Amino acid sequence: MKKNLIINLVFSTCLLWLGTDVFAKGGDDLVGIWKPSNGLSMVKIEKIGNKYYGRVVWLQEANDQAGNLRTDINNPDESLRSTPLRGYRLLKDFVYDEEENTWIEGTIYDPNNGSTYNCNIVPTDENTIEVRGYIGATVFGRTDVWTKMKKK
Amino acid sequence: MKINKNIHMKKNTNILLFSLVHIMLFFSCQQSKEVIVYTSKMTVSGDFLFEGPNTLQGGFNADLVALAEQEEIDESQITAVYLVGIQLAVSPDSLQQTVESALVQLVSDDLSLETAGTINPFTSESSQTLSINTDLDILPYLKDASTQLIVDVNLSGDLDEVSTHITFEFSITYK
Repeated sequence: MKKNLIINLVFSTCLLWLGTDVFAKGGDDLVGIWKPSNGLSMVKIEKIGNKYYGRVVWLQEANDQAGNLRTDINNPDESLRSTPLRGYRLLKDFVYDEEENTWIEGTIYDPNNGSTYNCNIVPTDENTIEVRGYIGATVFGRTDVWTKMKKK
Repeated sequence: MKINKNIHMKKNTNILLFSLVHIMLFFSCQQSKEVIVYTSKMTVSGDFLFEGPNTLQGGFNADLVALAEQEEIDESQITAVYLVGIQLAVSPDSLQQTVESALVQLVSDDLSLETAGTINPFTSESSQTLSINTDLDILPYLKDASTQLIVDVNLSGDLDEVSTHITFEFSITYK
């Protein structure tokens, strides 16, 4: 009886460990709601097909001074400037690199200047990621630490 | 004698150059042609949606071969496909007032996510005409079977389920 209990416990632990490992290798730890260090917005990262995308789901100031929804007024393409910033997809096309445990080949859009930068995301622990936007080589860029939002 | 030979050579070279220029002119005069086509309605749906930003996802069912055939052109002749228009309708109609804005995008396993069109705010019309990204060549997306339509919508309230019916108007350039 006791032997069976121990076997069951070991088996369950192995399953749990295997499950955790497979989950981490899939790169889906990135999926969730994240808050950039300035705390002015929240970005929901989701998986579409085999890539990861992030969109603004909350903005501290969703409206401009006139009370209208803030839109992407700096977009280089004039026809797309009416797109609201709340809901805007800032992070695009990230692919999970299993060996490096990093999400690579993505881009990040800065609505403040309408520029798109290359971007990599590195997990620092289970609740924080380093989002690095750069131009050309990764050394020419800026890193921001984002924190995962969790249900209380 | 030698002078005559030189003149003869020069004449031959001139003829050759003249012929080359004509051949080049002939090929350059084979101008690209353009034809406008409409896709059938594509439906993109989502359920259990909350107030605020939501994502609807669906297949991009534009059949390039069929579109080309209806204009009696071969798929291999097509060099580019650009957007001319996008029409979007919310279904059921009664839910339209809950949809504040929509952003229509294309993505595939191998191609990056690109904006095709946007509308903010919605008008009172039953069918919305989107502002479109005229620079995007969507031919690679039409050729990729994994292409999906992603519609980001901002909602003013919670919805159990909503669908959008989208029709694309393309300009097909072919030789």
